[in-house]
Amino acid sequence: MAGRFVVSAASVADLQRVAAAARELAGADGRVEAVALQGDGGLAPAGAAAEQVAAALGGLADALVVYDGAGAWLRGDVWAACLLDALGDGADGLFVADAPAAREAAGRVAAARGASCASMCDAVTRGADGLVATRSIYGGVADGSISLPLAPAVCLFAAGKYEGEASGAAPAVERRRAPAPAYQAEWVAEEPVVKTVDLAAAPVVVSVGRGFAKAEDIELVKPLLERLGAELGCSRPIAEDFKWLPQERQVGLTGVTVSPGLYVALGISGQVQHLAGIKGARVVVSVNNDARAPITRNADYVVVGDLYKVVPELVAALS
Amino acid sequence: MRILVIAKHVVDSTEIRWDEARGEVLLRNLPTKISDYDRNALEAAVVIKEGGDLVDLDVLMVGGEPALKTLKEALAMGADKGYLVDGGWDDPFDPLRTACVLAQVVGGLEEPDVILGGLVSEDGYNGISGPALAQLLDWPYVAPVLEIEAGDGWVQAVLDGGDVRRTVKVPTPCVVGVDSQMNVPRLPTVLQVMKVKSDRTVKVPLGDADTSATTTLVGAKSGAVERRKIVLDGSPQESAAKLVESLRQEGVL
Amino acid sequence: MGIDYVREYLPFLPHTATLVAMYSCVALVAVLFVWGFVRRYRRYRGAGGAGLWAAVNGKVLPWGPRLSRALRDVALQAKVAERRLPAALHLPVFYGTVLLFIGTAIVVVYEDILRWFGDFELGGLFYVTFEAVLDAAGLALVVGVAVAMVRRFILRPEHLLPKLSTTLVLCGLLFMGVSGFFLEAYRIAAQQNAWASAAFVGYALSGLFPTAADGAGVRAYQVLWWLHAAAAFSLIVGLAWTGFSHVFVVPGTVASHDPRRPRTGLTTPFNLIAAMESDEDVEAVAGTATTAVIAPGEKLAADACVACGRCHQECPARAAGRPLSPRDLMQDVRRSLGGDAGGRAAARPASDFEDAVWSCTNCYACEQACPARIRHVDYVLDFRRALVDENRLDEQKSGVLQALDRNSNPYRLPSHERAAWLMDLPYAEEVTFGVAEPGEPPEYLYWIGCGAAYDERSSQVVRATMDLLRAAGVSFVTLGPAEPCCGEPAKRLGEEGRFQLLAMVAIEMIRETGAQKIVTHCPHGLNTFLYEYPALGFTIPAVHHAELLAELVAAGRLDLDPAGEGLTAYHEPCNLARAGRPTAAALAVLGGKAVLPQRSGVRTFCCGGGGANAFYQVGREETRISALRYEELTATGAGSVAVACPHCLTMLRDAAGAEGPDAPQVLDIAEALRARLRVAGPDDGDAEV
Repeated sequence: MAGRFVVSAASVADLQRVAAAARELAGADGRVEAVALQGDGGLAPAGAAAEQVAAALGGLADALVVYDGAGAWLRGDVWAACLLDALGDGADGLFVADAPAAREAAGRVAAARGASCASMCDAVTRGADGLVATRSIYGGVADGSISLPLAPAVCLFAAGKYEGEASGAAPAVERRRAPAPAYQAEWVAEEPVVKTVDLAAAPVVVSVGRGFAKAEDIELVKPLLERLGAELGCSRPIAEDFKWLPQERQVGLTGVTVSPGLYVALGISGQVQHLAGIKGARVVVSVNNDARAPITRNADYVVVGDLYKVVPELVAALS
Repeated sequence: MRILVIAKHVVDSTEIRWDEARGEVLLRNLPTKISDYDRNALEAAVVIKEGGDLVDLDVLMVGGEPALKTLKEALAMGADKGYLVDGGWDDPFDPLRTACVLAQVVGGLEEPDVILGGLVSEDGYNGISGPALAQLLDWPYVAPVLEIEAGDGWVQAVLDGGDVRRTVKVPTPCVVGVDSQMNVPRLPTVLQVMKVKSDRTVKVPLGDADTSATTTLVGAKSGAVERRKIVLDGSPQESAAKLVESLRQEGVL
Repeated sequence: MGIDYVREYLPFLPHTATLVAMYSCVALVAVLFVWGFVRRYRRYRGAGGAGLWAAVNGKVLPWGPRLSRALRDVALQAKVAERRLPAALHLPVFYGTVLLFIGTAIVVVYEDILRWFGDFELGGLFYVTFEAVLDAAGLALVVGVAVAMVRRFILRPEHLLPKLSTTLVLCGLLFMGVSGFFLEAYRIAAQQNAWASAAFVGYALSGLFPTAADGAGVRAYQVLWWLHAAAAFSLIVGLAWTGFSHVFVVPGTVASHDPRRPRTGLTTPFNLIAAMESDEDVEAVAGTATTAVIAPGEKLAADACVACGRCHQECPARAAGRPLSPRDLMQDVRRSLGGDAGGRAAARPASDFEDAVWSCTNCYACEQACPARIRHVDYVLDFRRALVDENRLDEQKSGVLQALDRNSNPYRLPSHERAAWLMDLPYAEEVTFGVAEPGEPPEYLYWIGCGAAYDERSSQVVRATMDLLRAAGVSFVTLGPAEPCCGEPAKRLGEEGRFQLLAMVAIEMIRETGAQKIVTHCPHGLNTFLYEYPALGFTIPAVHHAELLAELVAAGRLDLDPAGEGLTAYHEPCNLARAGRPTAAALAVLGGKAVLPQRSGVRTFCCGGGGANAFYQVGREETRISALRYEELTATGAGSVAVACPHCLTMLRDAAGAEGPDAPQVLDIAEALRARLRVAGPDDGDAEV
């Protein structure tokens, strides 16, 4: 226990998560300092006001440092400069939640400090020499433990949920000026991206795979989606090869990692890349006519049968 | 303009598996290739080169002799010269070390205007080497790139900002991280790769690059999550009924 | 008894003047005729100026079989006669014209040659026969052309492409026939010779004309005669300058083809090992991107295309509404022969062309139907090779090739999961090479193939076949999980280099087993072993499981229950049927309880899974080829559908699935046979019901 940890993220929930992870390592004696950036577009995390962020960190962080003047958009180099400033003389660890600019921030800090760095971390613990991060390696084939001896150990946390709540006094807010960027980046244009679905946040996901003979057959699943209140996902061939569904519905390593309470795989064989994306699911159900498919060994409930027959029966049983 | 693409020679990720008997990840005797995301970067670079202006396009690869055939594939895609860093290491989980070596090697070459690479590498999925290299070179880092244009002294790119597509213009020299959605990399034929002459590849010594490890993989276990594997038998009607009952009991319905 | 009948030469015409005028025209026509063919011949020049003759004969092809086949095709009109209505028009036109030509030649011999050597006259019995035969020929010609015109202008079948030159030639021939009869009739009326009735058509018509030639009549005769001559001269020039040249070009094409290359065999553009070992810059040509690069033999063949449209009729891709018509493809190539050599071969908007090229299922229906024996698939494959060389592959196809590199299968599934089901079988160790105790080299190597290795349903076919082979005591071994891909998808996608690399690996592993023969249930693998591997030095023979099983059944080596009552519709795999592998074997395996759909045998209709189509999404289509075929199969009224190819199994099952749960099911012939295998006693570990 004890030690000094700096944490940062681009959303309130993510910030809570990394702060909680740091708190666990720091204990009551250690110090957890959260860093947030304030630019023209509001506070990163996600435009929230400093007080809101501080309130969310009650009991998790000991201080919240807000850097003002961070620019028109969240730049990785500016973020890195702020983190380096916050790190000061040193810390045991720097925890950053993954976001578009987070990797740049983490990478720059690690290079500037000659510090150990690990990405896609699920958890961080203390090791014999510095911190140890556990993460999925080789596309989900294994879970590895990586020793990070050179402080401040920079850990990029993979997307995930924070289950806890803020309890305790909100940390004091300190305001500083963000350092000027080292180079001029000219903003040219911007357009919002319309996302039709957020699989990562869905509580129930039903995915379709190659067991479906043609695109039109996916209609079969609609009533099931309604009954379960589920989002529709798919395996890689459906999105990439056949293009029956858009890329954003692809579940797996190269697609979306989901962690629903219930994941239903219909006609999916269960390749490693797909399984990597559903590790976080609490209960996995498979409907597949191939008893030998890898999904059978990686599901909690297995129905070996023709999905064209089982799905309607499932809908009926749920009504 | 001079473009340098940093491409990684990796073991094919689709063939890697956990060896239960040995209690380790099986990496030996597996096919190797150019990391997929780096192929996107190569494609982006070749497209810029084909765009008309005079572009010198070089590829930098780490991996020693075994990587030579992979380097030739990169050259067959459209690069001019290939640099193969002598010696290599197998650890994909120490991106800072990779960045240190790259910075050292790049320092010994003619300075490029743009360094292109994949956002992440197919084996480590870190996404750290790129920005770390940029930091060591003191250059801007532009990522994740969906579209790119390069001109005299500048690079304009469309970045994936999550819920926003943002176009920015950045001065060169800079490091660029390419997203896999950017393009479909061309596949050179076996004949084309064969035709690549050896004088287009140059061995580059590591020199006094700092190759000391900054991380160590200290343990690994199978990535499979233990699932209950409860098989629900019977006719479709029966198994559906059993399933609904079980899910109700689990509390997920 | 002498037949007092002699041929009058040029009646009603001023003799000398006509001769002079006629031969002047002939001279001119001869020049145009020769020029036309020289021009045509020059167009066949290939890359680097390679001439047709050298290109075709330089390959040292056997003359005998080539010529005899060409002769048979011409003399017996064998390919043309495969369709009834076209036979009804072309045979009379062809034989009629040939006879008339011979007749004219005889006249020339008499009038222009023999005349100088003595008093030779075209007369007597010979002449009477001559007249009768030629009138019959002329009548045939007229009737044939009339049928052709009815077909072309009234019936207008969709697959027949309207062509101005063809229309003109038909009109010309008709005119020649009709005018010829009228000229003859006028002469006969004036001649008043009883023997003239031999020329029965002319004789019948002669009643129209006065028995005495009068001034107006003679002038009309002369005009008509010159018109007739003009038509003849035009047609002769047309022979060299229009599609009418098919008269020479088609036999030329047939004579230029290598009869040893079977219909389902593909071309090998280069040898990778040879290219790797040579120090010079490899000049391996990869496909045909521009007209200039098309081989001379293929240019000749494209020129032979008369747009008869049979390939268009037979093509399953076209039937499904894909943007491919073999007829249009060949016509595009033919057209581009006359254009800029550096231009795109078969010039068309790029996207149409690419879509068409990738739509082909390589089923060879077009090649089977073509009366000129054009090999359309060769062109498609060469176009694909060019597209691959130019790196114009989309992500899917590129992914298939990469999967072959890395995972040794086209599905991007890991190699360690290959044939995982095999190891669950009780006899797995006995039959897997490398695991089994090394003993005598096995007689057969059972090649499982990527489809059955990874697809659960297809693997059942292998299991059924293995059960049968074991029950019959056949000595065989399989490479099991170590089996690589035979390389066929790479070959058909046009990546020859990758194909040869994969093939070399496979060949080495096959040789290692020491097996004397290969047996497989996959016709694609079979054709690859039989027709593509020999170019790489492979000589081990291969058979289809239908042939082996039929042998076992005939030899009584299988203890079978009689075949059940229900009929099954047998779908012949295109890659077997058109390679000449007989239907009989599969029908024997089905125990005579099979019914054939309308399109069977060499005219079988593809399931849509060939040409690597099974591994990528084909662009545009209105219906699925598999749906069309499944409908045809179930229309026979059979209760089930039998196949003999893993692609057909997948494609037709797909189609069956779309029809609902009660639709006739699809199974492999081996499965049908396996169901009849008598269960042996409890201590015989072989039989597994």
